[in-house]
Amino acid sequence: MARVIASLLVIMTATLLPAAVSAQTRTVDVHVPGNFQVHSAVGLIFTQGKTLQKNVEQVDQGDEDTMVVTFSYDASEDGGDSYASAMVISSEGDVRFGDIKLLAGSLTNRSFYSLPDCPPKELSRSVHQEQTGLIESLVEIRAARREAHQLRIKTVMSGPFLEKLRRLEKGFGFQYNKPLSPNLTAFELMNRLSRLVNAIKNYQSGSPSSSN
Amino acid sequence: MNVPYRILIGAKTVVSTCLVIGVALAISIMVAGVSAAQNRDISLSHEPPVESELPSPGSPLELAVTLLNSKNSQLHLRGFVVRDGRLMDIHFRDLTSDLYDRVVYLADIAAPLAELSYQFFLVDNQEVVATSQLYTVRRSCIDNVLPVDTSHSLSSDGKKKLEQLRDRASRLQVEVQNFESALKLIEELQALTEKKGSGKSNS
Repeated sequence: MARVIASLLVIMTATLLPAAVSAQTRTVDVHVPGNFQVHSAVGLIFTQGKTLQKNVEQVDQGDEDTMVVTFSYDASEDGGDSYASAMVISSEGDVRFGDIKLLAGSLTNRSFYSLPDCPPKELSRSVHQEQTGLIESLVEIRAARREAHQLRIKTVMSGPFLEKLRRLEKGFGFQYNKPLSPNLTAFELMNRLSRLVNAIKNYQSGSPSSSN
Repeated sequence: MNVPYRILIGAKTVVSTCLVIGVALAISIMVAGVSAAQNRDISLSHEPPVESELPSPGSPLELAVTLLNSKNSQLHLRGFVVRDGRLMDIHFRDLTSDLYDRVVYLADIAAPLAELSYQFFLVDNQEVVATSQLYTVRRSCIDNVLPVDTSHSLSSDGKKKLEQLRDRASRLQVEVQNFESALKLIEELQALTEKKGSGKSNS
């Protein structure tokens, strides 16, 4: 009897061990903005042209405004250019998308990060040495225009209006490293304001706004 | 990550070409009852921007989508756009027609810093009747969008100085354009938030 059991154990080990090794399970946490009664949640793995739906193991309230969705995936599903996110649906039917996270195995294989910096714009042939003075003036004029715009933005984007915009960003679930402020870089400011305008328009026209 | 402005992209801004497929999945859940039998005659045509013709980061980029095999301008076009890793649900509100009298949907979005992925969904009464392919445009390099510091002294070498000035002038131009866009958006936000907060309108 003991021999049979031992043989079975050997056979089971030999059979199941490779499968256990190849089917390494990893867990990922995705932050989803919001604080509401969760109706359902789906984990999403985006990999090599296909999307995998994953059962969510847990939805925790991370902090006041963030939920943490936890789900597992197989290591073999991380094809080197794979991402995770999650979608949470509230009991009222609101849909919130989570962060987009690069999976662990993809961190070392991401061409997005390896994009080089653009070199300074090459001088056109029409720009000659004697035009240095003209370009200096151009720089001065543009710098002055920038200053005037910044001043105007600081004047308008302040007080209750700025607070309102910050509340709206929060309400729509937009997450950024810095609070909305007129001191942001021009690109970041424009980027964030354009998302906000789009979200408000969608909301006012009665359709849900997706966010991450 | 040697360059500080890469921080602007941030860890959350990684973008995958397959991401929009995920969004497609999401919309299929979000929009009630995706039609299993989509109208195969109706389709969408779009000419994506080529990388070399992308405007500078933040500058307006027009997306135009032509409706084929239907003149029904009541059909609603939505674009799920992932710009530098951030998802946006774009509703195409501007319609025009082309030389062949076909309906053309238009929307302006800000050009990305690094990458743009998007897909279009044509919706009829909450039913997706046509989807486009997934489009992805990635820049070949990352532009410096940090504020230009004009207080730094310039090189004494004539040629080098000229190069520095030229670089400053061109970066300042982009910065000024982005501030101008931001000002327009602020005006828009002022108008939008005056409408009973940002609550839903009846329209």
